Amino acid sequence: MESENSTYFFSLDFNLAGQALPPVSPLLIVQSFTDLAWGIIVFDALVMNGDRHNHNIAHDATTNRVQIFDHSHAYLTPGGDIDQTLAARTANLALGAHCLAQEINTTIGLSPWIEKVKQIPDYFIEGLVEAGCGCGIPPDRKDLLVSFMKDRRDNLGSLFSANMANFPKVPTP
Amino acid sequence: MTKYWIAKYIEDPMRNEPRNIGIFVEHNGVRAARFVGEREDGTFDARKLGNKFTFPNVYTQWRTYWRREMFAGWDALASTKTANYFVELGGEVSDVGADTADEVCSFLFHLLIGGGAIDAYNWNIDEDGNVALATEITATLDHLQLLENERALFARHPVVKERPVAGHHVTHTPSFSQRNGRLYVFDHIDLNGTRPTKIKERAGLLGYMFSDIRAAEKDLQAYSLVRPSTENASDAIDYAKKVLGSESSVVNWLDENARGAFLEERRKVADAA
Repeated sequence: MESENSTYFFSLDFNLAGQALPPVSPLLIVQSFTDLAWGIIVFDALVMNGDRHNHNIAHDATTNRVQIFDHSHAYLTPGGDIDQTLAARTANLALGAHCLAQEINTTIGLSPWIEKVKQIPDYFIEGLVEAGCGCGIPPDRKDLLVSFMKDRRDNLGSLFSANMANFPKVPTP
Repeated sequence: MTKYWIAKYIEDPMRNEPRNIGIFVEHNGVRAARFVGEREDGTFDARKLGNKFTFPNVYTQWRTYWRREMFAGWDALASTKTANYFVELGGEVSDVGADTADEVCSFLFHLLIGGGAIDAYNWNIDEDGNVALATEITATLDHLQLLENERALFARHPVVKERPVAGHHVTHTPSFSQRNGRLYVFDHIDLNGTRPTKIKERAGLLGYMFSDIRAAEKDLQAYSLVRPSTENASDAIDYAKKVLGSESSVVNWLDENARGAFLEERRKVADAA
């Protein structure tokens, strides 16, 4: 990142087990952590992360904790056109080939997460976009992005209802 | 065709010193694996890990992952790389006879991860001749003050015993080596052994060791110090001579002139700037 005309490099250590854990089995995650799997899916849909695979989910069998990391493809495409990106993602979940979406086989657990997302306060979204404007997002698009995220938050349930084809193993009603 | 893959572990990515920790084998369509911490029957005993891993719980999860995924395909295993754990193609094994995948796997595990060639070939059962030859070579080098020890103050580049040397695929421990810019590696073989198979196996191992080290260090100079057979030539001895002759200079340790020339060269290498 840039600060005061200097470039700084940093790395994030996701190895909460000490070293990198092996890739997870999405099927096992869905079977063992169904509720959390929906939580991850709903979160990724909210932030439009189309890059969730078995290498950026970690399951520590010792502590039985699941962690997700790597959201570099979420929200806006780096260097891409904001208007085009938002337009392309408005009506879909923007999950890509989400590894958990391919395995989840029930809707139980989905609604509570959507309700939780609805509880996200306006100031939180506004603060996040404001922070984003401090590291690359054009400030003149701030209001547009805030509005987009609030709308996505409020209508995420409808978005899921319209896009259940993203979950091939969920029985059709 | 029999192929094998090696699971590797790097304790500290900054030092980048991979260690072999597991073997996968595919032999006639049958897959087998063996990992550090497993008994011969495949059961896992965490006590066998000792202090090999800073985070043993992470290793046990990788072992579980590899055992689960090994039947899905090698490409997926080999493409899953992290800074600490990864899998590499080891190579192919020929002349496995009637051995099963499990037997080949066990052999490779002992050779590349366990106790080395002695374990893999069970040489500890019939090793007297080679031990005696090694003892004799050691005593000669020591007498000439060519061997590194606590009182060796004269040789600038002494011969060292059993120092690990990195090959292209694995790290070897030749009986003797010497380095003065160029690397010299020498090992011994007694061709008077009672088991022709053991002679062929040891010659094959030494040939592979020289070849693998040479693949990593192009200018390697390798020597096979041989105590020739007192009996008539046999297929095993012919085989051994051909294998060793193709990968190293063969020195007849009982030939006074050949031995003298070899030792004189060791002296020059040891004393050179």
